[in-house]
Amino acid sequence: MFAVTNDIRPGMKVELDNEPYYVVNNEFVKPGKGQAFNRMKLKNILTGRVVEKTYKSGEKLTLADIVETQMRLLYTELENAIFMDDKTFEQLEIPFSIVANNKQWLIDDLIYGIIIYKGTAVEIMPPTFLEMTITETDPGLRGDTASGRVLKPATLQTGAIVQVPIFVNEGEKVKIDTRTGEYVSRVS
Amino acid sequence: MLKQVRSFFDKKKILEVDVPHINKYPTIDLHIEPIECSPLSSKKGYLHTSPEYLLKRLLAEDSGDIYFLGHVFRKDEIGNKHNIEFTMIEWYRNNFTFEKFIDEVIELIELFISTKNTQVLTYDEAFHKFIDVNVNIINTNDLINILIKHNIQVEKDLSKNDCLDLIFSILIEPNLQDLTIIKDYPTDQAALSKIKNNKAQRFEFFCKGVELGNGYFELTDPILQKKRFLEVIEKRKTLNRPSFNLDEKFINSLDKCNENLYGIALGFDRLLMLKEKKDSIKKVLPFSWEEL
Repeated sequence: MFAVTNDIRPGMKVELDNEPYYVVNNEFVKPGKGQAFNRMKLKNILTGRVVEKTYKSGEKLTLADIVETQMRLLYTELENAIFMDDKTFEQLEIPFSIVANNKQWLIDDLIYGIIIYKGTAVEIMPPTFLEMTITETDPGLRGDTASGRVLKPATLQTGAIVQVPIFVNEGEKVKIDTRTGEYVSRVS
Repeated sequence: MLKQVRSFFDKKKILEVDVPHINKYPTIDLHIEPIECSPLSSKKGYLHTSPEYLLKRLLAEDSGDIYFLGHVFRKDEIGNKHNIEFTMIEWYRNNFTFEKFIDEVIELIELFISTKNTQVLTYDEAFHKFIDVNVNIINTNDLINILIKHNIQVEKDLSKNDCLDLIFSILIEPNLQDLTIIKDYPTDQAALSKIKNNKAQRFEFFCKGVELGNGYFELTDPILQKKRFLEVIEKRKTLNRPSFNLDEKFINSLDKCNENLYGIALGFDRLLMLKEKKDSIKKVLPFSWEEL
């Protein structure tokens, strides 16, 4: 499927050199009597790299065969995560190599965004905020906290290690921003 | 502001002419597409991309100095500074000097914004000053490399003029913050202007990085004009763009036009953008195309 450069809006997904890109921006450039161009900012969906491309207006670009779907994590195995589509009950096995950094955010039974490019899963999007239990952390150091907020490492139920305030204890539940891996708050 | 513009011309005793927006023949440009319409079941017409041809026919019939303030239409032109339908201020002066005409254009622009400093640069000077390039000797490959060096990732099949257009729009235009007049264009960008000393007598106005208008020392030689139109039609064919029929009435009328004729077309909406300090034409239009 194709779209003409003039019709391409931010948010659409196009394919360049066999890789999928999000259209971040599309600027129409035209001197009064000259050739019209579309200047686009594109973000590679696989690598996250942002590139600039300038096309003559009217050129055709291939739309990327990208499907974004929501699936529930059933369980994890040694090398894969098994997801299920709640509506169709179809199951999908996704190797950890694709999950990469997001493996630390996998919790059974939660819903994740799965990005499928040309029929293969290429990315897993965790919920922006996750509530998880701290399974291991040192007790807070008594004494000098005059230097302000002091953080200590804590291991979460998924194995993820995040920095939390020293007053937070083992067994407590905390809210984490999965985009940055940062502590947001305690959960009562 | 429409009222103020009309008052400006009224005081100068320039006559307003309200010419048809639907024409039998399309305006002929390499890079501007007219919108077709069906005024008759049996015959197609074209929305004008500029009132130029009809205004010149009136000038040929001794109308005296005239102006047009109305809508023009250009297919597929939508962006922060473009809308398919926009308002053009276009006028013509008989027996003016270049300086006198430029002064008058500045006077009109000042209805919208105050112009403290004004600079006049030739096309060549602009490229030399901002890109350190000699337009006359540089080749297309070098131009493409300049674009790529500035992170303007183009395909390698651009023509020299395509490259010059891009460089001008992206690298030079933003620098034209003061009111700037660019004059003496390359002869292959002459359009409807006379050529003198191997330079097209064409000039454009810029301010705050925005192109405001395009003017000519008007070509009044029908044979030369027809030749240029035919060249444009040939070039359009190589770009797979539709071919057009010539408006012979317009071409022939040039003979009866005053040899000494200056004309200019300014974007009213762009002037409004500068006046209101808006970065998008959508903010000064009652309805942009997308809002319809």
